[in-house]
Amino acid sequence: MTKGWFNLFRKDLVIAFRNALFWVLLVTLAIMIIFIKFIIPDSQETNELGYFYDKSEAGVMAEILRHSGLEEAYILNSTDEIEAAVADSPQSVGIIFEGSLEEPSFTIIHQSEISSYQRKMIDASLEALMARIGGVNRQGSYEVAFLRPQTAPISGKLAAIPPLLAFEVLILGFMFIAVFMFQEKEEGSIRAYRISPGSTATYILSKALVFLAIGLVYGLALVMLTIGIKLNYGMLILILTLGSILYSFLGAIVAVFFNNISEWFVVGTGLLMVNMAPVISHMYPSFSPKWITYIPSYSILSLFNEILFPTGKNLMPWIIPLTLGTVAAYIVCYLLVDGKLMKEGH
Amino acid sequence: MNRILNLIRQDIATALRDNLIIYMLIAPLLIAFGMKLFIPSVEQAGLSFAVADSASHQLVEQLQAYGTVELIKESELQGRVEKTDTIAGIIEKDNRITIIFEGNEPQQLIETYKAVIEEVTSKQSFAEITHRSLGKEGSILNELLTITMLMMAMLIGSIVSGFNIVAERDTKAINAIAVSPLTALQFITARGLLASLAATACAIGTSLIMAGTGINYLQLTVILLLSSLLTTLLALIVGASATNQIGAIAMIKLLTPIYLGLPILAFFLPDRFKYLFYWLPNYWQFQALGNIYFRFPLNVSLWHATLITLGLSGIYILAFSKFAGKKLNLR
Repeated sequence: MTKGWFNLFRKDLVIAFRNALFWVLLVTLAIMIIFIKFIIPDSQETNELGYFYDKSEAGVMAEILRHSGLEEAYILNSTDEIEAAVADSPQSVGIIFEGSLEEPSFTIIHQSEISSYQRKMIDASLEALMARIGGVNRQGSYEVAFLRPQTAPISGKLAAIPPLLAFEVLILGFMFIAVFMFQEKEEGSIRAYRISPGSTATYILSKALVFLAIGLVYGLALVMLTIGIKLNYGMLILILTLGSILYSFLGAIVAVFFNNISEWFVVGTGLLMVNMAPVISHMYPSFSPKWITYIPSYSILSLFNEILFPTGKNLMPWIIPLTLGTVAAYIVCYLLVDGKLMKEGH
Repeated sequence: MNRILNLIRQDIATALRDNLIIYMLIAPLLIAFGMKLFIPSVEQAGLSFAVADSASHQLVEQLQAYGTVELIKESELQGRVEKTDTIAGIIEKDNRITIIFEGNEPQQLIETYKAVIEEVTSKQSFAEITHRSLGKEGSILNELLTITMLMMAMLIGSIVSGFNIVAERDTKAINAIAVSPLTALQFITARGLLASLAATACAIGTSLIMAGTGINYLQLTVILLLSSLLTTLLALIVGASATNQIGAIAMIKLLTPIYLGLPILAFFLPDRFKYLFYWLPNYWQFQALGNIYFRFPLNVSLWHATLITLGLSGIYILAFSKFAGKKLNLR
């Protein structure tokens, strides 16, 4: 059994590397590293407040903002300039100040209507700002507690690594296990395998382990060459392992329903796109509907975040469901491959 | 011309037999439809509060104006805050509020939560605030995803055509084509035409779902048709560089981030990095489509971007077709 499995593993590994996969991964890795290290900026180079016009006679608010570090480029001189700046930059807002510090009046200009939640949040932030400028302490009515010590903000460039691990490295198995299965169907080698002593488990695991080995080398190289060596590599290897084999099993589950790569491609790509939906929660943390949390990459992304940028969070509540999910995926994969692929008249 | 049409006819017959055209046309539209459904909820998202059930009804009502409120037992509050999503725990006891964070939240978000609590507990207003919209309705997320989906539709068209070439190489059918009167140029034209027409139809459908009828479809059609050389180039890269399905998928794995990922990344980068992408025809294709979908002006006009896409794709296809012709043993 072990010898049979190892032979199959070696054969699949050789096939993987004979078909340019090595070069493709190497080029992709180089592109990712160049972008992370040299091109993606460390922090967002945007002004969070937006464009500002002090319409008051004294111009005192503009002075306060200059002193607090707002760049001159964001302090404009007329309502028209504010409207033109907002029209050119949909992410920003325009703020027009009138009156005095004692009786301030703000007009907030948006490109389009915003939700009432966002409107109320902007109002609350401006009220807090004016209360502070007025020397009123409103912070006595509440206290802030942290479950763990606050962590430093993650550098903009390094924040790209968890999504790259989840959506570039781990999905290798999902794509390539399908291609291997189609190739074997087409070449007829799956027929030969059916009459050989090799079991279904050996067939699935040898392929999953090929992509695990490739994924581990690929993922670890990406992390080592960008973040360095000071992190919990044991945990990183565990999650890369669980993630890689889970996606290989899921890839095989989908692939058994198709006959060739052309048929599979659009459905497979569609599923990979659904798998990427959690990246939206990654970008907009307040958007985490229940359905998105059921996608495996949601927990995997959180795990990579915590491993690469630790905050002291307990990882077990994510690892246990991920492990159980991988076992369940294996069982379904086994039943489908055994029932469809190993018995089909192909 | 007859030879080209025959090859196209043959490809269509194969695609119809395998239901490929159905998959190709329907799947991006379904994905576009799914995206359209959840984009509004991304953009409308407010703050999330996990409020201990001992809190006053008034506080809960006030917080609901800022986002979603989950009422839970105080003993479960810590566990809820520790879950993956971003949510602040709120405990109200003896007229005093405690805001509980995990510790990994961005400082700006913490400040917003604090401002909200100050606002709901304060009886005093410090400013008169009014909001005004310029009336340029739209959504940057929707616009960006529309362009991404359109480019994906174009990519799928190329890939399916590329797969056809790979299948011909894999089954040695290409050898029969090589000894037929069909030249390399005719072969490339046939493959490119079918891929481009299918991709254009699919992209227009995707646009109708994502952006409705409010854009200029004549301009879009012209951009998509003038992007044909790029679609053909991608199909040719897949078809000529891979001899079997594994090689094809490996090549697609490389092409997808370069074709889709780099223009999107360039969009988010400061202007001083943009020149790094000027050699990519797909960067200009993105800019051309951006002129149609974005509500804000771009640095390059629609027609300039379209013509650069066409020109660059033409140069690359000329350079690559010699290699492709050799690889495919075509005359």
